[in-house]
Amino acid sequence: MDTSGTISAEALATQRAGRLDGIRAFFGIIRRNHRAFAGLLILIFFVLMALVGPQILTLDNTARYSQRLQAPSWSHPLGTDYAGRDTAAQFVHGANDVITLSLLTALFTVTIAFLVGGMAGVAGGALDSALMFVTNIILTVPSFPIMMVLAMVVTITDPFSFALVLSIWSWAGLARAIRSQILSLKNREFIEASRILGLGLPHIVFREMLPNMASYVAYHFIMIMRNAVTASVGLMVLGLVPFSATHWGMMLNLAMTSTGAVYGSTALIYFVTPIMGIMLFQMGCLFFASGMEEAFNPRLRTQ
Amino acid sequence: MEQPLLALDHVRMDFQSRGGLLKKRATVRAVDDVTLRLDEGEILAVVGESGCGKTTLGRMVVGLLHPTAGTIRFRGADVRTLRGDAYAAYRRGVQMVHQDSYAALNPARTIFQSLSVPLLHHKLVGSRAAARERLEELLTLVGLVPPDQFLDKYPHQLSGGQRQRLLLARALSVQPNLIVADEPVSMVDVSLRISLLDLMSEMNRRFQIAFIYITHDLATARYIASHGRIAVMYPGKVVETGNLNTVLSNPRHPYLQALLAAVPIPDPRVARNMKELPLRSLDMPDPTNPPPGCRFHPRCLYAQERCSQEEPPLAALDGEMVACHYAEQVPTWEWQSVSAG
Amino acid sequence: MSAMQDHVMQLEHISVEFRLPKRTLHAVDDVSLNVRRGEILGIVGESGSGKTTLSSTMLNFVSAPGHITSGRVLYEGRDILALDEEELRQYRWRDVATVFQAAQNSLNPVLKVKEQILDTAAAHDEFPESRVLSKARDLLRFVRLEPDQVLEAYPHQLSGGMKQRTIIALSLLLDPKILLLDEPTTALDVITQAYVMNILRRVHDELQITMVFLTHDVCIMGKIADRIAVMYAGQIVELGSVEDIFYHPLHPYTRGLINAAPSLTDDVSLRKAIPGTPPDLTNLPEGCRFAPRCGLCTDGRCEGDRDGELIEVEEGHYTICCQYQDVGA
Repeated sequence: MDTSGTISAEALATQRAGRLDGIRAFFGIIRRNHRAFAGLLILIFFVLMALVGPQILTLDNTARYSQRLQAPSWSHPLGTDYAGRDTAAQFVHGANDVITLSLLTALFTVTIAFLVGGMAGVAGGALDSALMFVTNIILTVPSFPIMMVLAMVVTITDPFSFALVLSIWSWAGLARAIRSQILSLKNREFIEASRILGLGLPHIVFREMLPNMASYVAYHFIMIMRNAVTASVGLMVLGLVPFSATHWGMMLNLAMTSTGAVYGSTALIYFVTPIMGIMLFQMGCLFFASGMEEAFNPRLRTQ
Repeated sequence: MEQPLLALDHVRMDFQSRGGLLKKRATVRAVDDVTLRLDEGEILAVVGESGCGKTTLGRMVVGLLHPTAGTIRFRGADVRTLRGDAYAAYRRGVQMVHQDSYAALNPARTIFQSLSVPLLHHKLVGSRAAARERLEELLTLVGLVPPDQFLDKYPHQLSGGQRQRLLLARALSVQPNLIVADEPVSMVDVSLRISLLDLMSEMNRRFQIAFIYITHDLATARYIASHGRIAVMYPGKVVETGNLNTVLSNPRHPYLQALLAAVPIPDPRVARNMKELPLRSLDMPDPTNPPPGCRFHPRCLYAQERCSQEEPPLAALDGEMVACHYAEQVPTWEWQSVSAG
Repeated sequence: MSAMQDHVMQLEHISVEFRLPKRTLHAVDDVSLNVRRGEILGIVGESGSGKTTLSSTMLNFVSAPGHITSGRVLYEGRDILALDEEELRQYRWRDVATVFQAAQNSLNPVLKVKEQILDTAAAHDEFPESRVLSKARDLLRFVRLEPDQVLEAYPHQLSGGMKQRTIIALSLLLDPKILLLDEPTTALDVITQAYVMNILRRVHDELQITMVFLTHDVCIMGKIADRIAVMYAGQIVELGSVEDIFYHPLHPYTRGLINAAPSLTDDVSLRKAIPGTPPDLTNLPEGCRFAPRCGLCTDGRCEGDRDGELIEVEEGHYTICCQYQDVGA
């Protein structure tokens, strides 16, 4: 019988410490894995750049054609673009767009995948078959052409609509994977035990199954962010999305089309900057994601 | 007359195996026409080899499976018709302890996280702090002391024996009336088995919790159910049942006699003098195509024509129930170790 | 150790360590053991005893992060720890064959049994096919299996007991001198287990083959073992004939194991568990390793030293317990 609600301060502290320990242990593992740590640092760098950068490097959009396509100098560390505007400032502001877009896309995609895969896996039967039928169709049709078509048809004005377009055809693979994870977990003894203890479906899905899928979902979240960059850059380079001039994809587009920067030697930096940014960001994602499985594994965390 | 805690009547469980391109669909009758009673605070050992249906039976009792035919009654009410509070009482009242203690605990949660959930969910405690206190009591009860050493660990950090005690603590936390223990000690070292079995016996005595102890090991069954009953299963059917001491001192069904002959005896002189097993063949029947008549007849040394034609019903004999046409003619089981070894 | 005995294998002062990120695990600590020709030697030990690690040294099969840090394994006088790759390959399966726990893992699921047998034979230069197959048929019949049925089958079509018997037959294919069995019956039902034990007995009696049998269940040894070695925490704590071990054990752990095994015949109240928990091989106590659980010493410590020197109390019966006289029968 529970006598009172009091509990020793130590015990409470132990509980809190337990949770903090979990977070500390997670980052401890990332730190030990050099690649993952490098990836984390790169991503943190970009996030900082996106948050703080714009305060430091203000964006001046006035066109000064006399200063176009300059080489790097003290006043313009990354040179200028075709209209004489500072490349570095654009790059930094663009980071904000890139990261926002990636995050939103990942969020939408994972949510849809979780809903579809989750319902299919948990419910089974006819619902499962129906959802998988749809999923399989989406999987067989290549996503980029669809995105191209959608980009032409839908007016994209803000990151939300862009993220929606990017995610609408990308969730299928993850949905299938989530479904199989759930199917395999469904019959595990500890899930059975939860059912026998009468713990209810929401608890079983969110508090028992989800922690066991955490590493998987986290990995895919990061990878979707990476893919979002690729896809959005692709669409922008093709000129299909007239959205935000500072997004690196747009910078790339402008660099290629409006300037002939590819041909000039001093202006190469204007062309190369967004490419480097994209590459670095993707590398950061890949490296960080590689440490996900390890970091979520309780066996390794407690060694 | 007092109502039994649990009553199974003519319970049957069929499984359909999926057909393939080259395989037909087949039906496996895992449990066939089983009738059993269990009273409050009683211990019943269900014994049989793998494939006999004992695990399936356990899962039906616990509510994970619905019988294809027959009824399961908890405190007199058909389990399938229960709703609301009555269902909640059944759900909490019948718990399970699994064989594989590692698989039965969520590897991504600490012990406290896993075990506090049922307490909070069923409102047996009011807060996490109270749950922690309650769990400390429970862990002490099952012999895991000091309890705070265990609560914040993950399952992989504990030994098999410790995890098994945790499973028992978790089952006890919701204050059940019946615990189905499916091979609870088979994955634990031999030297620790007895202490786990003693623990379960103590829980049975102190809290009047009934146990259904499922195993293939007759020796541990005898240990824990020495004051209880036993049911011996052979693919799908109960072939002998009754008070455990009565049944084991005078086994009547040829299959049970074969099982007893096969149990290793820790006495070299006796063990080396034992005869061959009283069986005609080693192979268990094909579950999709069981032999006609008595399922055991192809392996039975005493089988006669009637055995391949008619299935024997469970009939009373000498204070127990046996399913054999010629149970009276089966020779009495000679314990080779009659004199102290 | 009697020099008169003909020893087919001798383990001398074997130590095996496992080096983990933050600690070292002493799996086997200075163990010496002789295997007599033609005997059935049982090695009994629970989890953490080191018996499986010890048996892998017999095949020089200890894999990272484990290292054999000292000792020799002499087979017919040659140290197999010093053999090169090719010699080792010949030695394994031809001289010493193994039957593992859970036979399922040993049989290749995509090969028919017949192909597997032929593959194994070919790997050890046994030809021609017809001779191998006829021998395989004899062996399968020997283990009471139907050769035609088993040879053409895939592993998943056979039951656990049939797979285990098939593995036993396969292990005898090249006429090994020693058969090493690691928990061969643990995953089997009790009737199948009794059957397989009978078959192993027949194999031993008819082929005069030496067997080393590892198990955690001391009861099954009573039927077929000639001698038994009991291991605890990486050491051999007692060694003797099967009757010595069962009827007058000289170590409290052995005594405890036998007492803790529930039986069908004894009074139920005579059973007692061994208190405490299995040893932590990274954190062993000073002095006797069994002391924390021993009923003979009061505060968990015993003057018995940790050297692991076996004392020969009677001929052929050894113990490392310093208070062996108090271990009642």
